[in-house]
Formats: sequence, C-alpha cells, structure tokens
Amino acid sequence: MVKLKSNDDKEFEVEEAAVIQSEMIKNMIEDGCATSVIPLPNIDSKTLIKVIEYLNKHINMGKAAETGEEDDLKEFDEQFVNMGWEELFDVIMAANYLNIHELMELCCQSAADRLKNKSVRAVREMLKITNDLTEEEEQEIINDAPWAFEGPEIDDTVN
Amino acid sequence: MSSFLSLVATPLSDSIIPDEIIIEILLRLPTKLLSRFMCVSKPWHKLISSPDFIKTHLKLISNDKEYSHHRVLLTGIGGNFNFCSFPPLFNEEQCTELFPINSPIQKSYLLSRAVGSVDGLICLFNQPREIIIWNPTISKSKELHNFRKDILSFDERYGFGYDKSNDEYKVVFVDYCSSTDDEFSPSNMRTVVSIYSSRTDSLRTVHDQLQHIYLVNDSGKFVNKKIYWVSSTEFNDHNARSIISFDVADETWESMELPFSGEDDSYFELGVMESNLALLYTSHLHATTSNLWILKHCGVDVSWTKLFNIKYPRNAGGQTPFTAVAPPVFKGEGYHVWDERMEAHIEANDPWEALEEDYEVPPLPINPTMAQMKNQKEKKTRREKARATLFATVSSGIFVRIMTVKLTF
Repeated sequence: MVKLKSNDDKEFEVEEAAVIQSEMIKNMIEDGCATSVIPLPNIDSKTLIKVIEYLNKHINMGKAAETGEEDDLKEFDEQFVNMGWEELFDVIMAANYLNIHELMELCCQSAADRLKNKSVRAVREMLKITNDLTEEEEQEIINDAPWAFEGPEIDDTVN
Repeated sequence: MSSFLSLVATPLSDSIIPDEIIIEILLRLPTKLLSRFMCVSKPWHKLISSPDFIKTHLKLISNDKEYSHHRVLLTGIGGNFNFCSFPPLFNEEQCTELFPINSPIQKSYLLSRAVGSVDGLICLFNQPREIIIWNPTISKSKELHNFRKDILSFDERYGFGYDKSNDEYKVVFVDYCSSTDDEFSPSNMRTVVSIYSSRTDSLRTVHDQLQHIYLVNDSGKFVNKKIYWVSSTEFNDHNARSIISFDVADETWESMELPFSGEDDSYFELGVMESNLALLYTSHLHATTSNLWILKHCGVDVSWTKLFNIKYPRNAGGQTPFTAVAPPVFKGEGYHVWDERMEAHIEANDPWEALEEDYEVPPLPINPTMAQMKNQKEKKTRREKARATLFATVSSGIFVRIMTVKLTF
C-alpha cells in the first residue's frame, strides 16, 4: 500500500498497483522515495478522493479487454466525468500533476465536449479570459469565417 | 506540444489553469469551434492560427479511429456538391443524410471533378480550365490562375499530393495536345506536364516527359509521397500495361510492373488502403468478382500482395458494381489556407473523403436520406457500387468491419 496526503492533511491508502498509473508516483516508488507518506501539496482531499476512485476502477485496465469489462469501464468513465466544471478542472490539474495519462485524456475530452457549441462570450467566462481584442479586430475575425459564428445551436450559457 | 507552447507569450487564461491544459482541450475541438474561438482573445487567436497548432490538431483528428470527422464529398454538376458523414456508410442499419455544401465553383456546365484530396484539402477541376484548391471545412479556396493557360488540351490527367519534407501541396496535370497546328491525333500527340507548388505559389511546365506512356485513369491516387496512375502505351488504349508514379517531392516519374498482366478489356482500378497503394482487378465488365491487391513496401523492395476477393451480388443490376474510378481518399483534414493576412494557413478541420460521383443519381428530394435512396429502384446497384468504390480507399480498420458485414470469400 502507498500512503498519499492531500493538502488539507488527510491521508489515503492506495494499492500500489492502482497508484502506479500515476507516472509521477511510479517514478518515486522506483527511486525509493515513497517509503512513507507522499505529500501532494497541490491536491485537496475532495479531488484526491475522485482521483483514487478512478485509479481503483482502472486498476485492471489491461485485463478489462480480455474479460469483456470494457463496457463497464466505459460506463464508469461516463459517470465519472459527470461533475461540475470547477471540479472537473480540479481533477484535470491533479491528473496533470500526477501524470496520469488516461485520466487526463478522459477529463480533457469532457472539457472539450462541454465547450462544443459554446459562444465566445461563454468561453471567456468559463475559462476566465479577458478579451483584449478591439471591436474591429473581433469583427475582422468574424468576417473571415462568418459560418463559424452562425447556427441555431450556439450556446451562450456558462456551465 | 511544447514546440508551440512558447508561442503563447501572454497566458491563455487569467485563472491558474496552465496553458498546456487549455491547449490539450482546444486540440480536441472541431475546426468550426476553433475558428470561432479565435475571437476569444489575442493569445487564443495567435495560438489557433499557429501552423504548429494546426498541424498537431490535424494529426490528432486524422488518427481518429472512429472516423467521426471524415466526410464523403459527392461532386456534382454545376458546382452543386453534397457530403455525407463517413462512418454510417459502413453500417447497414444506419441511414446517412446528404447535405448540400457551397463549393467555390460558380459556373459549371460539366461535371466537376476531384483532382484529389489530402488532409482535408480538395483540389477541384472544373473543365475546361478552372482548377481550385478548396478547404470545405473552413470555406476557403484558392484558384490556380494561369495554370495550363496556353495549353490546348485534347485530354488530361491529374493528381494532387503533399510533400511532407517541404510542407507543400502540389497539383500535377498531364495534358495530351497536338504537336503541330493540325488537329489532334494519336500520331502527333505531345504530352505537357504542368506542376503547381503551394509553397512557392509557382507554376512549372515540362515538355517531353512521359513519351509513349498514356495514363489511363483520370485522377492519380496519392499515397506515400507519390501519385499513381495505371498506364498503357498508346493513346486511348485502356488496357493497363504498367503503373506510373509521380514523386511529389522530386518531381520524377517512375514505372512499375502490375502484379500480372490482365486480360484485354479488363479493369485495373487504383485506390488507397492505409498507406498502401491498392489495386482492384476486374476481369471484364460483367464479372462478379474483383480481386484486391496491395503494394507493400519493405525497405527498398516493393511487392504486390493479393488481399482478398470481392464478390458482387447477383442482382447487382447487370452492371459491374466496380466500374467507378476509385475515389481519392483522405483521412485527416487541415486548415491550411493561403490567406496571407492570417499568416499562411488555413485550417479546416473535418477530414473529407472526396468521392467522385460517376453515376447518375435519380431525382431525389432535397436532403435525401439514405433510407429514401434505398427505396429507389436501383438502390442495390448504387449501394454496392458505392461500397465497392469505397473499398478501394478506406483503411484496413474499416475494411475488417465491412468484410464481416458484407463480403463472402
């Protein structure tokens, strides 16, 4: 078992087979730096619980293909990313820090899916971006590809 | 990714989210969205317009195993083109809808042809002179003015390819003209080769190449840096004798043997399977079987391998399903443009499969669904034909699926 500590000082025990899906921790273990508790100063306990849930479920990923559990995993993944926008980014940041490739893929895809059909205004708000384009510059971009700004499906909501 | 991360001098977001994560997410968006999101801020505009980002995005989308961004383009008369989604064509149960698309061809009296397609760019040929490189995903196009300008062509062959080493697209036309002021005849035939290069935006005309070589198929198939045609030795002799390739990078021609010499009046059709040249052999017009071969590269050696036979159903309507010219394939899509204002690229995004429509589609309602088309009398023939045509072009992952659905061995 490997012990992980969140930035709010909560400790979690995770099976080594699960936790080595994180390249970062795998390297630490290989280098013999994981003898006691591994502190994760960038990750809070709420996010760490989600990440561990994912790691435990995906522990036998390789086997899933053989045993026909792929559909089960797919369903789990779909449910897993069903979380708030902020929360999703917390998990992405954690997955990025821990270097868990598959989790990163899954969450970035979910984030991309949520941006689909969004208006420019909504994206700015969702990702906290200040618009530094002048009105003329903006109009120029729109004129260059008017079709990209048309369509009944454009979604202006922020969620 | 790190190669273009340095481009972003100003952070992409005011939040703590690192740029690399935002880039990861943006790379997963379709082109239409990326075009829209150029408007988000200056750093976003710079990132999305950067050639490196565009290339990475193209690569990701081209490698999509589900082919969800691929499209089949049906060229038509009068510049009226339609497209449909790619994956449903391989699913018996699913219907696919045809959508009209605005093409850059304004005026046309003849069938517009696809010279070829690479990375989502389509080269169109609108007889007699108009040649356009078109990116349907972002609705941008460039006409090649003065290309073949003074050539009085009796007949022409063409191809479209990409040279990765120089990052340039090339259009090649082979025109058969009269060498004298007299009317064209096979005895006074002269061949003129015209080449357009996108990188230098330049045209080149070469005479005296391809002597005693006649290219049989109109549109060459681009695969692995080369454009291939089936060839014969005399004008209007459609019996294939060999295969001729044009190297897109160094602009040289090469000849190659067929796996076997076919019977007279047989058909050799070229296509692309993954990164291999494919050859579909049909012994005669009413044959019920075609054989599919692929050209395998092993170091410097090349060899033909017979992959499988395609059996056509008996009720194919008394017409060989595979008389079509195999359509050019292109997986991937690009948004390269020649818009100088936007720093030389276009990007488009959804990969397209250009499919030459060589059969007459009977009148159908606007936006016919495949279901409606199914009810048409000749549905079987057409579908089989379309399927056979597609066989020659799609990659093996899909092949396996089609075979299990449809083919008998």
